[in-house]
Amino acid sequence: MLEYVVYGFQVALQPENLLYCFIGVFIGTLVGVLPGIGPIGTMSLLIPVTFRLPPVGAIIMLAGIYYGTQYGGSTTSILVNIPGEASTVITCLDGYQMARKGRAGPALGIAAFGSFIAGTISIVGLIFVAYPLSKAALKFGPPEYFALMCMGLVVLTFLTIGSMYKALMMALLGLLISFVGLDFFTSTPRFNFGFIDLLDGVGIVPLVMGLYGIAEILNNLESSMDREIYETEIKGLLPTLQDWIVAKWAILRGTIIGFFLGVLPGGGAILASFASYAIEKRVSKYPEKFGTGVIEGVAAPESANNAAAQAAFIPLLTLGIPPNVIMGILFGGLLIHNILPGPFLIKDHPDVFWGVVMSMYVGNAMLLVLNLPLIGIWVKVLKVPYYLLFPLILLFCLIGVYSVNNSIFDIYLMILFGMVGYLLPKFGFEPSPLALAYILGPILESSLRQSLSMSRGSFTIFFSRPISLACWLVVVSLLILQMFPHFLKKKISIMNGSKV
Amino acid sequence: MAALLGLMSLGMVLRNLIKGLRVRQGSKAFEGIRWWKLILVLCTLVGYGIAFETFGFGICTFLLMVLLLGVIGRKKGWITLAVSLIIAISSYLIFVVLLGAEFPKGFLGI
Repeated sequence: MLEYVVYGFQVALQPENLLYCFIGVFIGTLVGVLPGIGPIGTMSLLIPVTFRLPPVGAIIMLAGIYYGTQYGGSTTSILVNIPGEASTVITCLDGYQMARKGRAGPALGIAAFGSFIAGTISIVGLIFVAYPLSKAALKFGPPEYFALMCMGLVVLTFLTIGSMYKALMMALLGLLISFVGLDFFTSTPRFNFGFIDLLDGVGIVPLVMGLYGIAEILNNLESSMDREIYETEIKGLLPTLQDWIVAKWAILRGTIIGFFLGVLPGGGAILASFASYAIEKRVSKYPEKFGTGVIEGVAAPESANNAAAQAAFIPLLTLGIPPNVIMGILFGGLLIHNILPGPFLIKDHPDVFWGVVMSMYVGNAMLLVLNLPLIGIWVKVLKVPYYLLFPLILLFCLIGVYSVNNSIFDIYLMILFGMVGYLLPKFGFEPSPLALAYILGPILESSLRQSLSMSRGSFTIFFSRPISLACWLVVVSLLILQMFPHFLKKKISIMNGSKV
Repeated sequence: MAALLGLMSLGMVLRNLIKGLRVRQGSKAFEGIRWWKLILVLCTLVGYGIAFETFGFGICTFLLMVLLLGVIGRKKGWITLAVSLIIAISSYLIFVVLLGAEFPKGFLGI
């Protein structure tokens, strides 16, 4: 194992890869600081740029953006009470209160150190889990993959904040969109409604950029564009010994929760931060003080979101199944470079696997430097007026989406998905199940059809193999659990981080 | 038959949509939205798509910025023009000259 770790560091520490890693975490922090564009929009925006990069460098950069946003997002939550990212919403509660009490420095410090510690532990976990998991995944056939992906989608819809039925509807819509284009077994056009541009299917970039990039801008524009930026003096970024004593278990608990929720399909950083805050409040001796500026309220969610961001790579790199939309974009990025994520990745492309994993450690160290001594720069970035920011983001979306296929049609598709992404949450629908189902759709379909070819059309193949059967049992259990209102109430309170 | 089914489905969707909107009138989902801004942004983006191949990247980008900054951002005329020009030129230099992106040149060749 140690030789692989050394090999990974050799790849990650090559000057070229170091540069890509730095660019990734820098952009990630920037995007995290700026409310109005998230990691999903940014990564889909940069996918066309990565076409020309070497595969390892491209994935290192895209991964850096993801975990970089987890660091950057906390800065705005603490200093101006505006979450830079959805996964740092909960940090506002205690982080901003700490800043108001003149303790912005320790809050930022514990967020950065907590993230670093969580990231480090998470990477060690990733190394130890990924290798045996990818060996075990070699035994997976199409029925297991199909069952696993169905389970992933059901878990995602189960964990979605709000109605599970609505989330399931979104997942089905996502699957339908993924079926548009030529049938890859028979080359028959499907659901293209006569549009030649749809023969290749709906592209990932217009869909994701529309659902997340354009929709986010429309959301921000619907109300006043003026943002109040508070002047906060930041001094003493290093937390005191007392802070460390209080926060150390919160960081550890946050890391463990984040790691396990990050691996779960549909889990990810958002859920991890909310769940860790709720649990921290429950185990605390003074739960009533949460929300008034306690350091555990910052340490736990910040550790959890970073641990989750890194643990999310496990299912992607070992099973080839993206657990969330961001990993789906990385999945697309790997496919573009003719690299199929999955059990064969470690064997066929050890440079990609070990290089990316070890680059995360390097990236975490870079982020610590970027976020603490350079905090002043990010505070200045916050002052960029939104009236200047949103036209630029829109321009980048237009350029990014056009440059993938040089297609005007893709621009229209992006606008359409932008409208869809804006309206869906207004009616209580989450766009995430749609996007993830769309990404999983082609693998899901091919696994289903391969399985049925193997069994000559018999569906019993899905229930006669132990791994597949176990996945179906989980699916059925989750669907049954949904029918109990008592459990539902409990789930909602955990999601809201309140009343627990 | 298919068209009839399609129309019926569309009718059901619209009915539920209107019903949903009515139910949400009491909630805050659609309160205080500046619709004109959103519609204008969407129209500008569609307009960019329509004009992109005819007018070319440079001019379209400049016009896009003028509309977004001037009409939606409500900035003064000269600020809008200056910022739009700077963004159009710098994006042309970065994407077309430096990165070699293939964008439509339009009748002016930019």
